[in-house]
Amino acid sequence: MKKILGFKVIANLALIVLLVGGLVYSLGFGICMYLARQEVTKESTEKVNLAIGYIQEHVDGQLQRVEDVAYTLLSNKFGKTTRDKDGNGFVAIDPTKHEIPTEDEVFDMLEQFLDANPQVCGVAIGFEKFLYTDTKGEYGFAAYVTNVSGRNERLSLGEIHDFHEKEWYANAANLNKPYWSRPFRETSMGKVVACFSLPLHGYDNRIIGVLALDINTESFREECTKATPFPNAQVAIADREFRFVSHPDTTFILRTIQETGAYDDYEADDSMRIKMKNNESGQYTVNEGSEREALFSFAPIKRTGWTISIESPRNDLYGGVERMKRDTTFIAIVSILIMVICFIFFFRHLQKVTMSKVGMESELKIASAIQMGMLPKLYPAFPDRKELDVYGFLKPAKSVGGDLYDYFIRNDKFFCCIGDVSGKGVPASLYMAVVRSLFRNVSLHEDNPAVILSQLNTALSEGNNHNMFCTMFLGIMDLKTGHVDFCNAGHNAPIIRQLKENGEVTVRYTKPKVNLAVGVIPDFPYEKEEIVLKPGEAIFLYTDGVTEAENTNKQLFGEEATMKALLDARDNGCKTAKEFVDHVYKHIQYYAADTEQSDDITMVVMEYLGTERN
Amino acid sequence: MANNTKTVYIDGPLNAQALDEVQKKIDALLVETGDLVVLDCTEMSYICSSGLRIFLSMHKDVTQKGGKLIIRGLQPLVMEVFNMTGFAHIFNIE
Repeated sequence: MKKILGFKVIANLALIVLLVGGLVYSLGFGICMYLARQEVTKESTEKVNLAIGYIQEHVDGQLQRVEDVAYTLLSNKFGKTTRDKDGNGFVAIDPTKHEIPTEDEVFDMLEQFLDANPQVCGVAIGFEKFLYTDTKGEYGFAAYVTNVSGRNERLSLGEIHDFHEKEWYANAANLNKPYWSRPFRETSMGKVVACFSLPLHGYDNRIIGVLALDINTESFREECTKATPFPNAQVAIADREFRFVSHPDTTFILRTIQETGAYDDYEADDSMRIKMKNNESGQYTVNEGSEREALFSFAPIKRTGWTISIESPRNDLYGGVERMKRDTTFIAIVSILIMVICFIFFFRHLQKVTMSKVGMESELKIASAIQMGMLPKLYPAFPDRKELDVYGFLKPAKSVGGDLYDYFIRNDKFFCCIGDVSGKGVPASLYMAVVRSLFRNVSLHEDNPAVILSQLNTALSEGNNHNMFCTMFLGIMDLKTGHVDFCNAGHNAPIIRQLKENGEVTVRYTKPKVNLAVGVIPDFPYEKEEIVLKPGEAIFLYTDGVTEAENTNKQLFGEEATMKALLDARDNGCKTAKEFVDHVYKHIQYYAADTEQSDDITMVVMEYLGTERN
Repeated sequence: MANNTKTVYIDGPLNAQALDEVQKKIDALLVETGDLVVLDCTEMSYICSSGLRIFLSMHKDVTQKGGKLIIRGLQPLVMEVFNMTGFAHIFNIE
């Protein structure tokens, strides 16, 4: 069997499938990834903004509360609070209503305040030198109470250093407004604190002192941790000088961004620094291209001039997308491979089927040739026999068919049969071959058509599991007399062409006895009949392919038309058996036109010519 | 012993195209011992030789099981086929 397509062709086709599949996938994948990334970017930005909002609100809230309690403390103890339109305020002492408290009273007051306000971890109040002139301290009086592990500690700062020079006092006093000092490490508590200072006025608006509240920045770190939008995001707060007030890495606290090297791009990008300095919000991609690439978002806490920053690592943001990319790529590669494998298998299968089909077709051709070879084809069939003119014709509907005819001469007797096996195609053709060889074998030693058909029937009925059968007409003509013994086993009644005494030709159907088709049931009693042909008379045998030939309207050719075709044959110059058969076939062809032949068409004409011409 | 009557109606021509369907219907009938099977051919306008083969197989099957197959309502043209082939001899035709 010839190979239709080589491996190379399949490999090339598979490659095309692979490429096209890959291309389609890549395109779809690219679009999906782009959209997913955009969506993720949008969502991430929203998430980061929410986190920033949360920190702003909570940290600023804490700061605000510290400011509020500072005002409350001063107004309760010293005098009336005045605030300007920016919310900046100061407290003025009215000497007519308030007396200057003693040092002990100041300490008690601060201690009470500290107990009542746990969010404040230290409180100090310092006065101008002229107020507490008889204090022990060299630098005047300043009371400082801190809470160290749940216990209040009093410290008289004036005995230690000149607090008037310290940032918390000096800046509030000089600016004459509330002031948040830079966070610092309060050594006695070991905590990093942010300090809010509020100036204290005398009735003539002179600064007479400064109140300072310390707030532990540790609580900011807690808020930052709570707000962290992605598992590996770093939420930090830096002060005005970009020193970290809060950072997940506590070693960064009070060190500058530059010192810690937190963001490689921080130095490089001026616009980012300027924005942060100006207390604006912004969003940048930092450390771009490196392992540490991240989305860097920042926003101010206006009250203190601090900056909240959130650094969201790229992997956190697009990790899902990247994982999806990896997974889908894997799935796509696997499915494309499966596709290619399926394709190759399918193609192989197709190839085999095609090959076997081609093989089957060529085998059918051979089978057809063998089958046709079984039929007597020569014309004239018996050139040395002048008593007889016989011609057989078989046109199968498919390559092979179930119709048959056969004839031969033995001992001056002409044996002729025609048959039609039930069904079509290969099964019918096999059965037909069996019938034909049985006919030849049995006829070798038997002259009685009924006996021949009986024996055929017995042989065919045995083991006939598929209930195939064959309608058959068998005639045996004595060539010396024209006497015909025949037996019809369920076959179409033959047509007889007779001559009247005046030489006129008539055509009529015989009405043979009905015997059962051979192969149906064993032991059916077949009956013999007889007819005598005069010279010039003929028997026309045919199968139902003739009478049931269909035209385009699905109408059958029929028996009438068959008779008519036979009748007008002679008028159309037909003389020999072959000419008769060809003439009838032309009628059928004309009738059927373009309709596909649905059944085998078989015809045999046997004409007795008599012995006189010899 | 079961003694049911099972009827098969055949509509239209029993030609090559209809063979498979009819065969399937008949296979699905599951003939049991002693069944009376009726093939109602009132609407059957044509029968091809393979159709006769199906009838014959069924006839043998039913008869073997001690039942009876009856063919009913054959149209004249179809009856002619039964007559010609001699099948009228072996089938119970009503």
